[in-house]
Amino acid sequence: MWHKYKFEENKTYSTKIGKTRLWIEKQKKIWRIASQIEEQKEFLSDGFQIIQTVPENIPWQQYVGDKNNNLQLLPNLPNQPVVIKPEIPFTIMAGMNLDIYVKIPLWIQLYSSSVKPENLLFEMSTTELSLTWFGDPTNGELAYSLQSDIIQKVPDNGSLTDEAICPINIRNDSLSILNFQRLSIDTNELNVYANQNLLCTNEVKVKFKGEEQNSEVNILHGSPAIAEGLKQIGYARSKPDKNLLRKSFYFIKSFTQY
Amino acid sequence: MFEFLLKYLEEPALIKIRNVLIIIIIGYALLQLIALFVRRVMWKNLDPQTKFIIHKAIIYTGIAIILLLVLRVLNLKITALLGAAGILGIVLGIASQTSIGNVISGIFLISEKSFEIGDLIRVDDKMGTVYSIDLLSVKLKTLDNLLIRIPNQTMISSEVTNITRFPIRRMDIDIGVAYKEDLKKVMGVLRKLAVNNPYCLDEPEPLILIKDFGESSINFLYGLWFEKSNYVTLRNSIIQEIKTTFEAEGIEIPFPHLTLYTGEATKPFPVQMKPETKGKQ
Repeated sequence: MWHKYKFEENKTYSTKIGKTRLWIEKQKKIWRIASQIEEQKEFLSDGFQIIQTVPENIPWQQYVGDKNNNLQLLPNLPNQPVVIKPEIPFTIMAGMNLDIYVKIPLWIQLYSSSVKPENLLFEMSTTELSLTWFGDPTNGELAYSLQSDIIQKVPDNGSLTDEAICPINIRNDSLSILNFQRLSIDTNELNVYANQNLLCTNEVKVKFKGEEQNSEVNILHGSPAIAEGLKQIGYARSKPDKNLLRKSFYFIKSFTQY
Repeated sequence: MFEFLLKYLEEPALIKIRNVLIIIIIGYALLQLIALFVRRVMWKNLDPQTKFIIHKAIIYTGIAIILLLVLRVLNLKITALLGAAGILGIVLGIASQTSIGNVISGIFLISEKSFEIGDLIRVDDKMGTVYSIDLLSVKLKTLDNLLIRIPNQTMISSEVTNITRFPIRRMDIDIGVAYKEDLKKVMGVLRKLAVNNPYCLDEPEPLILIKDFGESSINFLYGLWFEKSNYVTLRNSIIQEIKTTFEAEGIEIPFPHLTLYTGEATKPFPVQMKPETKGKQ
């Protein structure tokens, strides 16, 4: 479903990806796009279909484009870092490493012609994402809180169409144990790859160097080695810095809040 | 007549005036060019506070240089001028004590960096966005679009609260519930409301604290963390949600009230009806 669609004028098209339902109309040079997050997930593998009945009171937005009647539907990742909070905290001994796989909800992007930032018409999350703060209240970053599980192997049946699996290798390069409660990943620097039944991102390698130091984050170029036949279909919002040092782990220190 | 004018313009005094005007015009034009150049080249990565300081520094330095050049053209020596000022200088110094104090306070305010242009601050009972930090005063633009001028000396000696210094804040809401309510249930409802509100941050975790036994209610402190730009949206949405959810769950937010009893809480308050008597006229 992640490809170019041709839209006839004055007809309403709809599709649903995950919890997000999309409606699109083309009227001469104007694109009308509406979206709504619904309770239940659904995956319409046929993509956009013409509908006869359009619900009332849906929040339309209008975009002025050219006479081109094509839109490209592509997946991407959240526009802010995601904070992974494992249900059961992990402990990694000094010198050891751990491979985990995290399911990241996708964002839908619609491009009016070629895939360039200036042609991005519309984008939206496929599910409601909860805001959180990663780091100290005086100095940290706004992020999305991920409620998905951390899994230790790629599911045999692949992934759903509204999420991408991010392979992460965490290495404890310090002299102490790493007991992390939160892990932040900057999804702006990740691409989306797909084969027939799996959507995934670049592999991320995180080296923990101690509580007081920033971790070394490496985003590996190209598709990950977790599956075959992967092709890039979603493009990172920003180019990854090599060996980026950032605070990836946050250690909750108890303090009196009142 | 033209020749007369030309001759008149060649008088030494007029030559000086002409030169002064040329210096002022060219100096002013050059100053504007420099300011424009700096804006084009350096402005992009600078915060509003730094831009303001650089702009003021360029202007004041330029004016000082132009003034010195003008004095030189007029063959006026500054030392002589200052010497000639004498008593006038002393008088001016005493008169401008407050102004000098404001200037020095301004320098301390800028170097301390407790607030910058664009910050929302509270000074005593006044609240507004910092519009400018000038030599003598700080100007605030209030939320209802008024301009308040606060002398720097007042700023330096007042308690200043910078509301938007940090990227996130906690919104504290006082909620009172009736004494009959199940407190665990109330806390559960409040916790769920915080999780479901899109503007409330998951972390730091919301604070739900049973504060005290009030006169009419048991009082909670409900503290929700939010990104500083979402204050109004969060406040409006969460208070509506609290009201709606409490009504749906049957949780009472009591009005302030007093219970009178004659010594036994279980017995009704005794009321005696007296027959109507006609008063003496």
